[in-house]
Amino acid sequence: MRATKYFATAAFLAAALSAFGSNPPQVNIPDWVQQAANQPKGTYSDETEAVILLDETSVRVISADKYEEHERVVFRILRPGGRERAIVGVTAGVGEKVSDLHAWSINPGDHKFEVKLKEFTKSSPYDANALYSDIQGYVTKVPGAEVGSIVAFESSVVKKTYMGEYDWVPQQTIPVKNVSLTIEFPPRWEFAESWANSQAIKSQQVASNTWKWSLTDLPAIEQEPMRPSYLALAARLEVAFFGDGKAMSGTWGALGTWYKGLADPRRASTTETKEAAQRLTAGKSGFDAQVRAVANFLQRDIRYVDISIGIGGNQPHYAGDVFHHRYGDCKDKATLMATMLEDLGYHSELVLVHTKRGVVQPNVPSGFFNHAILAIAVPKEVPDDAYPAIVKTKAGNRYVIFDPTNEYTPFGLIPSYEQSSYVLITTSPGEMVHLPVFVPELNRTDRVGKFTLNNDGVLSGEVANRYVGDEASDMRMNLATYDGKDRAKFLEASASASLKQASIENADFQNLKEIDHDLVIKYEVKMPEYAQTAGGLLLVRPRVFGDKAIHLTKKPRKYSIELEGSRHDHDVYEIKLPAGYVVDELPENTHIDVGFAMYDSKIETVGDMIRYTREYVVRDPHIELSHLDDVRRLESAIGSDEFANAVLKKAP
Amino acid sequence: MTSRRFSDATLPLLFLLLCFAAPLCRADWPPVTKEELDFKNVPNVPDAPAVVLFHEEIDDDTIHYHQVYYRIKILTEAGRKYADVQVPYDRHGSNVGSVKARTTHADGTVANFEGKPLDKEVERFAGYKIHVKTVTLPDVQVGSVIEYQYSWRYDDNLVISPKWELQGDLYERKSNYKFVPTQHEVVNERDVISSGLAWVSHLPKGAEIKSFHDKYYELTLNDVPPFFEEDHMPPPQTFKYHVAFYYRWAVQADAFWKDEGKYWNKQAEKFLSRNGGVREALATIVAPGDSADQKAKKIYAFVQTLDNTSYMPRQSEEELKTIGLKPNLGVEDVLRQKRGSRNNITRLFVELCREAGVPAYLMWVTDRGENLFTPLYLTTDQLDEEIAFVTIDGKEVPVDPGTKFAPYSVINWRYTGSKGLKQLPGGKAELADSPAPTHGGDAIQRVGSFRLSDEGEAQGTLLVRFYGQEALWRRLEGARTDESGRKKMLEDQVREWLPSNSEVTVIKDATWMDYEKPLAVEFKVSAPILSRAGKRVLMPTDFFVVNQPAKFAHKDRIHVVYFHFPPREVDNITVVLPPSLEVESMPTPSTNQLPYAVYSSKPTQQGNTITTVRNMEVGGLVFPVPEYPTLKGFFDKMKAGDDQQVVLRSAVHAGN
Repeated sequence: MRATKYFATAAFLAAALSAFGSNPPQVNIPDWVQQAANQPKGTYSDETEAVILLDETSVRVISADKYEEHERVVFRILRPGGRERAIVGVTAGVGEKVSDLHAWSINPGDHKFEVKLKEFTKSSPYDANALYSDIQGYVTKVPGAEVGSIVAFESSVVKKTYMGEYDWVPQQTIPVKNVSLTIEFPPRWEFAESWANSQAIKSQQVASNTWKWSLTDLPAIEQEPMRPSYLALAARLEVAFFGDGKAMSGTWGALGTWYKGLADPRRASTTETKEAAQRLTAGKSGFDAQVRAVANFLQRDIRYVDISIGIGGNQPHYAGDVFHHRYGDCKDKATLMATMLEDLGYHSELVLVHTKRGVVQPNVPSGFFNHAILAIAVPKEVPDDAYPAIVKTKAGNRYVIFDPTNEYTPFGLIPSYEQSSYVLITTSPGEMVHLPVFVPELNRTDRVGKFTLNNDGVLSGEVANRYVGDEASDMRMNLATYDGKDRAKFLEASASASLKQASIENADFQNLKEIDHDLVIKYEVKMPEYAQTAGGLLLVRPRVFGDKAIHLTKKPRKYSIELEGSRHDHDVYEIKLPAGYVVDELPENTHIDVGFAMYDSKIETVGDMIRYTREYVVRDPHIELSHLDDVRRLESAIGSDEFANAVLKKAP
Repeated sequence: MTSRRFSDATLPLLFLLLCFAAPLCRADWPPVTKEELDFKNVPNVPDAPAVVLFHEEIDDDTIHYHQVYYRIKILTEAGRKYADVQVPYDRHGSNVGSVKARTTHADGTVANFEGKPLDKEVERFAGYKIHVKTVTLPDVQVGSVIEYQYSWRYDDNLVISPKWELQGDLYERKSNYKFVPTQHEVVNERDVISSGLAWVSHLPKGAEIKSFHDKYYELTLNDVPPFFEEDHMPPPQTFKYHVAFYYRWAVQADAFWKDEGKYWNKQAEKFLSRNGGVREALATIVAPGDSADQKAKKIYAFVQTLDNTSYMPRQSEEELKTIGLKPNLGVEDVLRQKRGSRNNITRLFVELCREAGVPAYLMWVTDRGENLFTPLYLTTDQLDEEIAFVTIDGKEVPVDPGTKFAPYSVINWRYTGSKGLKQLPGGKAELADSPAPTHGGDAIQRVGSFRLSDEGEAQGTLLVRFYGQEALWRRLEGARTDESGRKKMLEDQVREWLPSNSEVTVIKDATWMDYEKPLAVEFKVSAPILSRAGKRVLMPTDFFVVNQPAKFAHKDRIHVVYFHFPPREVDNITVVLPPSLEVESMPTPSTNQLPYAVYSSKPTQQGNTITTVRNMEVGGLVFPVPEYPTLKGFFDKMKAGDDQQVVLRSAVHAGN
C-alpha cells in the first residue's frame, strides 16, 4: 500500500485541533454515581484491582420470551490493572434492542467524563469457537479511568429469553460492596428461585409482584492455581418465571421438556441420513459396532463449525442439513448422531452439560449449560459394565453418554472435563444425572525406557509410550496441531521439562487416528551430559522422564484443588551402566497414599542396570481444601523422588 | 491526465484489510485434475494438514479491484479448518463482491457452496464500518479439494500498491501474482507526482518478477515451503518471502532519502523552533559554569522527569480536552504541559541542549524489534522513532531521552544496530547507522548468601542487580503497574529461577526510579535445593541457574540466531552447610570459550562454606545458521556446567 505518513499526520492534527478548539462539554454526574462514590474507601488487599461500589440490576419481565434489563454499575479503580475494567458495554442479538447506554467517570483530579449511546463502538464479541454469531457488542473505553477514578455505567437492553429464566451472578473477581437485583413480573406471574454457591438470600417484595434481592460486601473470587472454575465458586441466583402455570425452567424436568420440544423436530431423518447410517454400518452387527461406526463418522467427518443466529444458540440445525453440509456445532452433531442412530433403531437423547466441572449443581435447576452431548439408550442385552460412560436414570433407564464433538474420545468414554459433572438428559420430563469419574486405569500412560549410559555421561536409548483413554485423547489433540516434522519438536519440547538437552529421532506414532485403540509413541532419544561426574563418582537420575508434581505454591489457599481427571501412570526406566562403573548407592524407594492419590517408586540394581519403576494414581480429581496438607506431603514426596540420584563409582 | 489522491482517512484501514485478506473472480472453475485429487504427500512436510495446489492474486489499480483465488487440498482432519473463510472489509469505501466456493470430493464429485455469505459488522468507529463476510465450505473431508474466490473493489480515488506475502503456513505448489498499476499520475500529500513503480522483495531462488512493458507485473512461484518461526530469530516478516510494491517519489535511492531527509528535517526543525520558554526553563536546569557534559546530563535528567505519554495508557481526545491538555505543536508545548510522546521529549532535549550551547541533533530510526531497515525500499514507513546525539568536546554521544528510564548514553536496544535518517548541519539529513549495541553492559548480577538447613532448604538473602537493557526493560514493564505489581513481578522472576515451592520475598525495594543506577533489589529466599542420593545428598552449585531450560532445544535451525542484546550473567553464590553435612566431593570448575562467548563456573570449598562464582557472556547479536551447532554446543556445555552438583554426606563428629 502506498504510504502517506506526513499527510495522514497533518490531517490528524487538523482534526485534533478542530476538536480541541471547542470547550470541554459540561458533564453532569448522576446522583446515584456520586452517592456511590462518596462511600468510604474501605480496605482491600494489595492485589485488589478495583472494587464495585454499586451494582444495581432491574429487570422488567415483558412477556414469556422478553424482558428489559436495566443496570447501573459504579466501581473504583484501585490499581493499574483495574483500568481494564473501564472497557464497558453490552451485547444484543437479533430481536434484542439497546435502548440506553451511558458511562461516566470522575478522575482523581475531579475531572468528569461522559460517554453517550452514540459514542459507543459497535463490535463483535470475540469467540474463538464461533465462526459466526449474530451477537453484537456495544463497547466503550471510559475516558478518565485511572487509579483512583470512579467509573460508572448504565445500560438498558430489551433481551430475549427462550426458557423464561434469568441468571444473576452478583459475585465477581473483585470485591462488591452493594449489589441488588429487582425483578418486576407481570401481575399474577409466578417465579421459582435457587441459589448456587451461596446461602439462599431472601427476596423482599418492593412493589406489586416486584421482588428484590440484595447483598453487601461480597468478597472477590480470587485467582488461584488449579481452583475450580469461577462459575463453580461465585454466588449465583437462578430465577424461573412463568405466567400460565407452565414453567419452561425452574425444574430439571421442565427444562428437559422445553429443550426436547426445541430439539426433537430437528431430528427428522432424511434419505441421505438413512443411507449413510446403512452404509456406515454395512457388515457390522450389534450395538457396539454400529454405534461406534456412526460415532466415528460424526467425530471425523462432521467438522465443528458454530454458526449461531437467534435461537440457533440453543436450537440445533436440521439433521439433514448438518449431514449435507458436513458441519455443525455441538448440538448439531449430537442431533445428527441421534437421527442416524434412530435410523438404525437405537434411541438417544440430547444431554446438556457445562464443560467446567462444578458449574451445574443439582439443586440449582437452570439452563446454565454451554455444551450438548448425547445419551444413547443401552439395549437390554448390553451389561452395565460394558462402557465406563453408562449412567442410569431413576427409572432404571440406561444410557451411554457420548460426546461427538470431541474428536479424540472414543465411544464408551467421556473426556475428563465432563466426568464428575451434573448433566441434564433432555427427556420429557428431563432428568439430572451425575457423570462418573472413571477409574484411573481408564486414563493411563505407560512409559518404558531402555537406556545406555556411556562414560561421558551421555544417555541414549529407546522409549515407548502407551496412552489409554483421556491421556490418549489429550495427546492426539496436541499432536493434531503439528505436522509430521513438528511432532518430533513437540516431543522434544515436552521432554525438555525433565531433560534439558534431549534430541529425539525416529519418532513412530501408532494408532494416531485410530481413536478406538491405544496410542503408542516410540522414539529414540539422546541426552548429552545426562550423568554428572563428582570426584570419582558418577551421578545419575533414575527417573528419566515425567514430572508428576502438582506444583502448588506455599501461599495460603482459599479454594479446593481441581485436577484434570483421574489417571494412572506407570513408568519403567532401565539404565545400563557404563563399563567400569558399579552402583555405590541408590536413593530410597518412595511410597505415599493420601486417599485421593497414590505414588509408589522403586529403584533397584538388576545386573549391570539400574531399574526405576513407579506408579502414580489419581483416584479423585477434586481435592477438598481440608486435604491441602496431604497434597503438600504428596508434592514433597514426588519432588524428592523425581530429583533423587543414583551414585556410581568405578568398579574396584 | 488526472491526478489521483488517496483518501487519508482510509489508509490505516486499507492496510489492515490487506493484512487480513488479500483480494478474484473467475467465471468458471478450472478443472481439478486427477493428479491433484491423488496428491497426498507434501515434500519435506510429513503429515501436513493441507497443501495449497494453486493460489492466485490479481491487484488491479486501474479498475480498483483485487481478486483472490485459492485451491487447497485437505490432507488431514486438522486441515479442514481451511474450509472456513473469513474476508474482512470496510463497507465505507470498499466492498467485497460475490464469494464463490466449492468442494471437489476425492471421487471427483462437486459440492458447490450455494448459500449466501454471512455478512456481519464487527467494528464501527470513526467513520469505518468493518464487516466480515464468512463462508464455510460444504462437505469437506480429508481428500477434498476446496476452492474459493472473491473480489474486492475500492474507491476510484484510491490506489493501493500491494504487498504480497508469498509464504504462509501451508506449502504452496503453484502461485500466480499479478499487479496492474494505475497509469494515471499518483500524487502524494506534498503534491509530488509519482515517478513510477518500484518494489522490494525477498524471493525464492530463481523466482523473478516479470514486467510487461511496465503495464503490469507478474510473479509465478512453484513449491514454496511453509514458513516456520523459531525462538531467537529476527522479526519474522522480514524473513518471509514477500514483494512490496510502492509508487515511488524518486528514481534514485540517494535522491529519495536526501529529499525525505530534507522534509523530515524541516518538520523537526519547525517543531524545535516553537521554543517559547526554553531559555527560561534552561536557566533552572543548568548552572552557568557547567561543562557541556554536565549540561547535557542535567537536561537529560530534566526531560526524563516529564510525563512520557508513549509509556502511559493512551488518552482519548475528549480526555485530554477535559483535563485541559492540547496536542504538542512545538517544544514549548512539551515544556508547558510537562508531557509528550517519546519523540516530543527527544526533540525538547535537543532544543534545550542547543539553547545551552551544546550541539545536538536528531536521528529517525527503524525499531529493529519490529523490522529491519531496507535502504532500497523507498518509503519512510520503515522508520519508527527518534533518538538524539550531542557533541561533547568534539565527540558524538548518542542519547535516548525518549525512552523512559534509559540511563544517559544508554540507547534502548530497539534503536541500536539499525539505520535511519540523521540530521546534518545545514538543514540536511542523511542515511546513517544508528549507534552500535554495546557488549557486556547489559547484565544480571546475583550475589547470594545462604545457610542450608538440616531439611535441605537454602535460606538467606539474594541481591540482584540488573544492568543496562536488563534494567531498562524491567523498569518499563514495572511502570505499567504499581508498587505491589512491581514487587510481584520481580519475585515471580526470581521464583522462576528456583525449584518449585521456593519462597521469595522482596526485603529491600528496587531502585525503580533511580534509572542512572542499576536496578538493584534484595530478596529473602528459601529454596529446597537438595536432592537425595541414598545416604548422600546432592546440592547444585548455583541453584539460580539449575532450573533454567537449555537455551536451544532443537538440533536443527532454519533461521539465523538473533539476540536483542548480548546476554551476560554474573553470579556469586555462597552456601554454608549445616553441621550435619560435610562435603564428599566438589565438582570441577567448568569453562568454555568461543571467539564471541565465554562461560566459567568455579565452585570452591572453604570449611563448610561452598562458594560458586559463575560468569557467562556472549559478545554478538546475530549468528548465521552454520554457526548454530557451535553456539548450541556452547550453551549445552554451559547447561552441563550449571547442572553440576556437590556431593554431601552426613558429617562424622568425634564424641558427644
